[in-house]
Amino acid sequence: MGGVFFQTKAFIAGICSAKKAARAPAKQAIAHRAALLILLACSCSLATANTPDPEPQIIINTKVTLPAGFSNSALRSIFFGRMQTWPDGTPITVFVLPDTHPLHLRFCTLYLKTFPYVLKRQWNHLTFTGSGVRPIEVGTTYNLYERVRATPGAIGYINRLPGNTSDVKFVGSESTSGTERTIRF
Amino acid sequence: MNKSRYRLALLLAGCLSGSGFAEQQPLTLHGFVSQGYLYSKNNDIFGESTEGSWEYHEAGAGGHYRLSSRLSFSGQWFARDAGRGDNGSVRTDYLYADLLLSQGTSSGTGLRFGRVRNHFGFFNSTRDVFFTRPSILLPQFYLESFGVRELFFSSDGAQLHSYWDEKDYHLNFTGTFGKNKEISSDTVANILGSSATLAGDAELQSPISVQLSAGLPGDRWKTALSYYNATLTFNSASVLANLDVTLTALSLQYNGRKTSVTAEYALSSISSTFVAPAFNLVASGNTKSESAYIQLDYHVDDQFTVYGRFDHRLGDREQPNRTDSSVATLGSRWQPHPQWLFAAELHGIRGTAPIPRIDNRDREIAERSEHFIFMAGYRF
Repeated sequence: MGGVFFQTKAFIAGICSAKKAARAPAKQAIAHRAALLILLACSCSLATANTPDPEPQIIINTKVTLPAGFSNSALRSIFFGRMQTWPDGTPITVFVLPDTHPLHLRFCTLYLKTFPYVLKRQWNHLTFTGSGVRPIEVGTTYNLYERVRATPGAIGYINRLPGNTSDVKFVGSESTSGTERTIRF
Repeated sequence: MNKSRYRLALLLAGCLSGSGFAEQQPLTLHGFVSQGYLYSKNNDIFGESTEGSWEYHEAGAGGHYRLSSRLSFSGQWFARDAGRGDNGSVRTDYLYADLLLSQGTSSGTGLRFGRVRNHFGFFNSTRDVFFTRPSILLPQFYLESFGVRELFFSSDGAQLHSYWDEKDYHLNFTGTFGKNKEISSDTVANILGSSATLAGDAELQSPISVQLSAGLPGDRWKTALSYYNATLTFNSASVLANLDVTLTALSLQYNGRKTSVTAEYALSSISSTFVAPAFNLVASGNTKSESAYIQLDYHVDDQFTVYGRFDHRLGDREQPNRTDSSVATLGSRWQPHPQWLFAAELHGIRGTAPIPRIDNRDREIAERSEHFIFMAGYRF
């Protein structure tokens, strides 16, 4: 809303400055600079208004044999600490971004249908009753990607590349972006 | 002695600091320490709080070891000082082996053996960890002021646990079957009054704890039904006593983006029989009490939460006007870092039940009192 108002205001200001520039050639340079500033302000405003929410993509280490019927409910079992080993017996290692990271919030709401504070409460419960181990927190998506690639049984999430519609990408120590397999739920 | 143990726990916490965020290994360690300050009017709570008390601290450390894909071990050791009610001695909080019996993509079942936590309501299983409580002090629902925590905090026995995750809901079941255990003379005195002469041979028999919980995806709504039953027997030269205790609770929680609402209700029923052979006397009775609370949490941002709670209890349903008590709580919680937590609370109390008798032995408990409590905690 604020962005639309700002754009309109900037547009009117742009017309006014253009008229003034036509009437007073001596002030042309100043007007030109003003127009540039207005254009920049408009583009910033548009960029802010159109910035999409980060889209998460689940990544799983290639050594995991994903069970048949893997879906959102299984994903919730994993991230809420109820399912702790893959069907082949490999312990599941969960990597997450900090609570304040926009991608973590988006992942929680989109895939887990929850909020970071609810998840944190659940992890505390697991830890202090001895019934599980809380996820490992890493600071950046790059580090998270590298940790999942290097850890057998690992699962996490990264930013989805534009045009990629798959839910899960399998990443491994020997995989490259060209060889990484992806699937949908 | 107690202080030295506390320092030892602090040292242990310091030494192990940071290991919780290490790469997941078969062995993971965790710990916590928290220190409170209390100031109250009219009644003491956790030390001489009417003059300001620091006698409220908790420290614990433990670990989880995965031996194989089906077998893991967990343990936690804990020390708590809370006025005269808890003296800071180190005790085993839980220590058990967890055997995974079956697991699929949407369900799993396991069996634990050893000392396990009883699941009752949303918070009993982690009631001594500042980071997991909904507030610094728990509501009356959790019977904190009655000095009976050892009765239903944990059990030595077997625990069956199971989960089902479906597209639109999830279910959890926990059933605990404990073996008989001796009860401390302090707990007997807390149950029967400090002048009780029955101490010496008291036992908790066949404790059973069952909880079935359900939730919508992501715990947007969740609910739990909890049940606990045990028999307490007291034997002395002159009196035999038998108390059959049953607790039933219903819990409900809503978790929104900014707001959480938690409400719990508990009904406790105690059937008692006292026999004094020397006097040819037999007495029996049945007492039912109820407690309920509702708490609203507002998450201002990722670090800061404010909350308010109203908490009510009827000590005896037959005499509601003489035995009721209520507590109004206003508080705030600030977690500037995942490992640090600070909270402050104000309590307005009407009634004597929320006040620990053991901290007010030398005085008459006042009907009304107010508390201010501050607590700082660190975890790893």
